[in-house]
Amino acid sequence: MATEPDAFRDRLKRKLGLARGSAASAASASDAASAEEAAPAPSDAAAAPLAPPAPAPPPKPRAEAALLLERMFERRAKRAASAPAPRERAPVAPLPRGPARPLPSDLASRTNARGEHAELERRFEEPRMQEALQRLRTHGSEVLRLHAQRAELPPFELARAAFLDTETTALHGGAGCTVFLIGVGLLEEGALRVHQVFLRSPSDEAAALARVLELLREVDVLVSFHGKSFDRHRLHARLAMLGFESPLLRFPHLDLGHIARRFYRGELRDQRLQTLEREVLGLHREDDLPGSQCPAAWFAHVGGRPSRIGDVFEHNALDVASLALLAARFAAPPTEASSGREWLSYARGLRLAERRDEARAALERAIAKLNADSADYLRAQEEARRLRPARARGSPRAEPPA
Amino acid sequence: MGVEAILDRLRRDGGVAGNLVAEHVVPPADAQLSPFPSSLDPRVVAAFRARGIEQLYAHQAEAIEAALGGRDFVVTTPTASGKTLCYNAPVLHEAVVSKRASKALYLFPTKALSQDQVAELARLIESGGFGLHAATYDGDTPPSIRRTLREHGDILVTNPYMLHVGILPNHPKWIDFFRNLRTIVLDEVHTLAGVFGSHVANVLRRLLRICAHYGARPRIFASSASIANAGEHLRRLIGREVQVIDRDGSPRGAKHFWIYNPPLLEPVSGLRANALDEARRLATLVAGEGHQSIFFTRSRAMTEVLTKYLKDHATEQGRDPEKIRGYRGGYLPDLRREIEKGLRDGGISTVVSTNALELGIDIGRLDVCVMVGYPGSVASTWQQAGRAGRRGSSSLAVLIARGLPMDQYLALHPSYVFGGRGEHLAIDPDNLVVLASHVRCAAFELAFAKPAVFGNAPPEQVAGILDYLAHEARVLHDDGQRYHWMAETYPAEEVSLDAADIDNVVVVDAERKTVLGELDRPSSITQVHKGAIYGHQGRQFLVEEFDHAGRRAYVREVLTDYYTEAETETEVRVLHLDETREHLPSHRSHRGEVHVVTTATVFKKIRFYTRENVGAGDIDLPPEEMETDAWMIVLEPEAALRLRLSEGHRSKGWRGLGKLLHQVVPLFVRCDLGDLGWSAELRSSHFEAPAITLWDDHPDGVHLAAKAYELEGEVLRAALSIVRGCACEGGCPGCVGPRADVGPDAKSVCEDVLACLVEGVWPPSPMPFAIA
Repeated sequence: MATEPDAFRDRLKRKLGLARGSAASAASASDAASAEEAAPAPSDAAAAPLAPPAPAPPPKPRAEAALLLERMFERRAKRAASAPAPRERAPVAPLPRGPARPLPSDLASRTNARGEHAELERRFEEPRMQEALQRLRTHGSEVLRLHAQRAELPPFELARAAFLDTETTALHGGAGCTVFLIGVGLLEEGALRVHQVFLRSPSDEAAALARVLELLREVDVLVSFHGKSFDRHRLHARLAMLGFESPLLRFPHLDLGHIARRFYRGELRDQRLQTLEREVLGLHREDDLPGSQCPAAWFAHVGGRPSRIGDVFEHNALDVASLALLAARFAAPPTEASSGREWLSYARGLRLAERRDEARAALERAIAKLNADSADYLRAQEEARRLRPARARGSPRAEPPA
Repeated sequence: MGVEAILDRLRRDGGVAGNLVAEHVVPPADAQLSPFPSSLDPRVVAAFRARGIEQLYAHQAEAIEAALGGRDFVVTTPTASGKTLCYNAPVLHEAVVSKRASKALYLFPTKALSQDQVAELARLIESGGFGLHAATYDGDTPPSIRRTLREHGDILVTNPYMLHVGILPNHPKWIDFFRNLRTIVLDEVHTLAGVFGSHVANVLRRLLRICAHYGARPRIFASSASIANAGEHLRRLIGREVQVIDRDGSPRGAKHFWIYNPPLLEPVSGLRANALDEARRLATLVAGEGHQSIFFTRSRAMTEVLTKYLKDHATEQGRDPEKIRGYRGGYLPDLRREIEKGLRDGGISTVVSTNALELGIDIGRLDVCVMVGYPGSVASTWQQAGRAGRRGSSSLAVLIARGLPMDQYLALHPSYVFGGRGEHLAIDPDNLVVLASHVRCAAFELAFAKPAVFGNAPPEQVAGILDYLAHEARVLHDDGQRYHWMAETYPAEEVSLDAADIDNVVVVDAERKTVLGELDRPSSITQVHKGAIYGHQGRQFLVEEFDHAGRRAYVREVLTDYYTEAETETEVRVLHLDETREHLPSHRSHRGEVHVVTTATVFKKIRFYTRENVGAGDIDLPPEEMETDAWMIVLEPEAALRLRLSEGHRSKGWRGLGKLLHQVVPLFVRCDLGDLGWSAELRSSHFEAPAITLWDDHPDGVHLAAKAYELEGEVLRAALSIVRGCACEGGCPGCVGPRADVGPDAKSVCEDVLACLVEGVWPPSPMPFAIA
């Protein structure tokens, strides 16, 4: 164990021309150093490949190269920290606070053709969830589709939708961004079943991804919160890198984040999922591990250090459950209590679906409820212009196909 | 006016003829033609025929045959000899034959070059009716079309920076492209030298590694200016043996290459007339409307001043000043395109440029080239001179020597340029710091399987770096079989390929509320400080406000009769010594860290034409600072005394030794001269003794000076053998520097000092009367 790296370090130092330097600094007598110095260099270099492990110098705590590298990376970090105007970037997460929480005890190891990974399954069947599921059963996907305002989203059954949320190692994407926990929620009789597919280490990746594809086999539509621009691309990239045929970009995708932004823009502090949970659904999480700290927890877990990895599972499962609750919230047609914005979104969806009469009626409600000097009021006016009969309109702009 | 007539006029002009100190005629050459190789697809041949190309030059045919035979090549024929055809033909052949299933990636050193290339490709594709997509993909590409290009582009043109930070780290978006990548084209590989070249070599290792991951092994076609070691350079750059194609088959008219030494004004002090004034004088004889001329200057400021002079002169003569244009980096792309086009279609007769036009930007061939000052290397000189030369007619290149030692040396020894074949380019892709930076980027891109392979980098070195990154820096996870990236960062963003700071300063016309141009931050402190005159197309703008922190300079157009020149001071302070070797009694060597501070101190207002100093001002801006590695040689006071370093001319010789070591070290650490800074002090304030300091001219250091310290014995021995072997009499650029710079005794001083340091030759104790 000890000789192998020393042999390497010796070779490395020779290669880097550091050997003589280190000998000089190791030997206190200067004449020893100058004797080394006098030795012709070519023979020194030529000797290296011939006699690799040769008489090793006294073992040193660390390779010279390591010290050099450390200095280099430290300086870089220092410079980055003192840079005058750093580019927009998520701040480095502080160390996760709170007690370490190990992996959930019911996490199961699973095997498939691509190897092994781990998975945790849990059912959400609290009264609150029951109520949401009932609502989804009653209204189906129709209103959600109208609010989504996407022509490419076909009619679908909620039973064939997957609620998707992933935990990744970075926000910027790129090939080094690993998806290490994939939560897939499926509706079943009386419960939301969440499958949490997990990479215990990077080598679990192929098996885990194969499992995700298996879970999505019976699925027609993905439902996520800003997953259209984030989660699905990260998963797609990992699948592609590992040589899988990825269906992620082909799936019709219902992004609840887009609807939320339309409903609550400017009204809530922000439109993050947890804000909506609190302000719209009236829920709050206890001891939640912030999403920004999840990567560090996984790094620590993989590195065998104590971590809050168990909290990552909790965080992810709650995110998936929130998706279902939020979908239920958006699935019912607007009522007298709904905001002008919801009516406006509904009206626009109806118009895009070529249900123009209903759209006009909804728009009237929207205009009645909207504040006349708001931007949404202008949007409603524009909507009204589009709803006028084609001949009456000034510019014959082509409508997107419904 | 024909060049022959211009030559005649120069020879007969009394004020000029006497200053033409050397002439070299490159004889005319007929075209060596070859038919299109029969293996080249007839549709591609037809496309070239449609563009008026009936036959190939010999080197083009050779390149196409090499390519179609599955070989990599580098073509090193002169400027404008049709190098792009050498790779365009096989690339189009491949795309056509494979029915658009093969992709090509072109790598150009600058964005301007890519624009040109794409235009030429588009014309070829159109005339062949191939239906291929060729496009640039760089920082200026709108995000909205990037996906389309990734998925449907057949030939993409980009640059090393974009590849490094944008494309490679996102390769999962590029899978189809990489899977089908058949050809990589590297243009102008002579620009990939020194530390920058070492970085690019590693970017290419990453590129080829990703290609291999997706099952592709693209061939590599390269082009270069004439350099002495093209094959070796490519071997280091891409780790492959390539076929070197250097037999130029293009026709050339005779080229008359003259060196012009401005007249002596004061024979005693050796003061000569100003080179810029001489350029202005020459312009009246060599520039005109019937032909095209290019003037190269050594700085952006001089480009603007000379542009103004030539425009003024044209106006006086009743000619159109708009036919005279300036060209330099920092102009916005549209303006550059307009000038390039004007040069191609003849709308512009005279252009004054920095070395920005030295690279292969397509401006057609011109008739006359005037270089105001030695461009700094033999290769650059021939590149610039190569801008003049139409087929079938003569061309003229004139190099005006400045009062600087190097230029004056050339005036005396013209064969240094005329006989030169270009420099040896050096890169070191295995430089530990550079390699480690890119191994880190590569680990982000794909997990490293053990045993780790990274191009032809020494495997034990790669393994050591990975081991460090996994077990000490903890950005990788070592699971026994592989190293996996395990961090939230995006490493490519932290690695700068050429240490040039990316944060540019924007120059804003405060009156018209438009952006006039931009420049890099390090030069901003001398170019756009408050009170500076910023030249633009020969017009003057006064800098009213420089928001250094906000990186914006606000200027307003003014009518002045002066321009400004700023002075800087560079101070090197020793921060700490990390390692010391004593070689008593002669000297000590140190490796350590230094703080290099460059401060802009004052600026002078200089009147146009007369160059009178008409005012001055202080500059109050933060200095440019960096911390970096250094190697220091410090003489023992006793040795300095015996070497008589404080005596008259001999004191200047110490500077000669600094200069010599600055030239020798790159041979051992494989970098560019510009990658190293140096100073030679007779009494260093830190050591209180004569000291020579060499430092890495890159923030944080790149393991150059540190390596030189390790190789000290070899470096000093090599320096001694150069001094002893050099045939010059009292110093030349090949050894200790021109006499005018380092004094008449430099060579013997260097030999004495080196003999003392290397061979322990202890000079005799100075005689008592010598001191008196």
